Amino acid sequence: MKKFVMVSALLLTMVQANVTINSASFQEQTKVTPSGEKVKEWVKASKVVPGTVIRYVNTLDNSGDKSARKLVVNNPIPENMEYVAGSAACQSACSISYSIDGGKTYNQPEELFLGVGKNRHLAKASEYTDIRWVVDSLGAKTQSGVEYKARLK
Amino acid sequence: MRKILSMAAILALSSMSAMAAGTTVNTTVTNTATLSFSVGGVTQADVTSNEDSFVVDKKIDFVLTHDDDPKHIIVVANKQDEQRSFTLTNESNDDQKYSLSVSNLSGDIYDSKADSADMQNLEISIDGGTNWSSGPVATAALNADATLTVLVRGDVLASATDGEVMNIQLEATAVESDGTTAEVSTTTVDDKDVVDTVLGEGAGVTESANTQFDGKYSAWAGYLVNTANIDLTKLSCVFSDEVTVDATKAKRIPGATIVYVFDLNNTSTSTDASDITLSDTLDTTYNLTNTVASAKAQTDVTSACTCTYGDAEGGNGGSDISANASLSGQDLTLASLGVTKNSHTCVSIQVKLQ
Repeated sequence: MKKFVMVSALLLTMVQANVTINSASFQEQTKVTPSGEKVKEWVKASKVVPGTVIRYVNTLDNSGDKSARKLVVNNPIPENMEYVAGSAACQSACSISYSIDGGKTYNQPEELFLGVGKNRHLAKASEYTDIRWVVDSLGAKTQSGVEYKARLK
Repeated sequence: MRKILSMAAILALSSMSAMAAGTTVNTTVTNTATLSFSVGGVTQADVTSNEDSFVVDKKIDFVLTHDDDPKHIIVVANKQDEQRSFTLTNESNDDQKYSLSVSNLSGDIYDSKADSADMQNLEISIDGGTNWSSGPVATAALNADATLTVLVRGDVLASATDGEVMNIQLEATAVESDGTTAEVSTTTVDDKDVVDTVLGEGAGVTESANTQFDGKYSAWAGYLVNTANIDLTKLSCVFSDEVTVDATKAKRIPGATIVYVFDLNNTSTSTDASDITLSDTLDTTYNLTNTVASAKAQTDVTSACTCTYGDAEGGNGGSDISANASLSGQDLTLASLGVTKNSHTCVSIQVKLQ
């Protein structure tokens, strides 16, 4: 019996992939190259004023020996930010859905309605409250990422 | 425990409502994501990301607009304290102090009315006209989203002539609390946790002096002088010398009745003149007995007044204005005269040579 417990524990340990998620924010900045060419690049967000668009990148890192599957990333859109339509993306195969009720339910944009009666309308991107990415899989010792853009109100 | 406290702080900060001018400066914005996944068909424990955050920097943004319509108001020469109104709106995400400065513009800058003169004694009021600056500069502090009516007033030169245009510019400059001009933060290494200042205002209408993102915004208004321009010409002719049969050939001999005609010519195309008082000191060689009674005025004459020999009014006709005429010694005063725009008023009197 003791041997059986030890084997079970070992198996459980073996299937535990070590996946972490790291969030980082960036903003676009125009730099002038030595040749005078203006180049836009994403830099760490630090000078942010109303109207600034922030690119949020959530990096998934699987440092384990096993592949992880069906990785579900839920990201509430921060207070004072509004989602930029069509900006959510993944670095690998995934599906994306959105919530307009604080993450209780998720759906595709064409299925998101707010209001009742005459006020019922298709939710605007700026009315989304949460984003969900479902990444099919993340191989062992690999990284992937999901991202979206939001504008500071 | 520490994490709970920091989360509470974030919630407290994030509950601050965004204003029309944008999220309040120094607000902390935090992004957090959670991850759930499975390995080998076994659901793993959820993983929470780090809290990625930054503080909202200060964006100085404001608009200054001219309120009145039309752009040019009609004024007359020597008019004092003629006001124009502007509105300053603080669209920054924080309270902001502004320096206000009014000045005269020059040249043909904004529309078909080329600037040709200056307003005098320009002053500013930020309290609806109760108090005025002692010069063309004032300061005002506005809360975020607040608007302020800024009144500007000035005097029209007494020598201003019909058709002259005076354009003025009001410029608002964002300043620090100590009055120095607000500037973009110039720290070489930006810090996401420190509030920086960014100038985000647009360009004022006086483009040459105002560009966007320079902390200044300007608007303009104008004055158009519509005033009567009156030339006075004095003519004389003989009505009768009591000798010459053909009065048109009468001579200026003792006993002759001389007609004086005052030609008031208003060359303004826009403004009538009224309440004109005409004064003349008559020569002591004249017998002035009939002077007041003979005073006549003919208005709306389209050509220059005449002085025709042999005619009681010098050929001008006119109505009796003796009620408005008076003599004091040799000093003749003709009051309450008027002359409509672009016309002449012909005033005549009679004197007799002694």
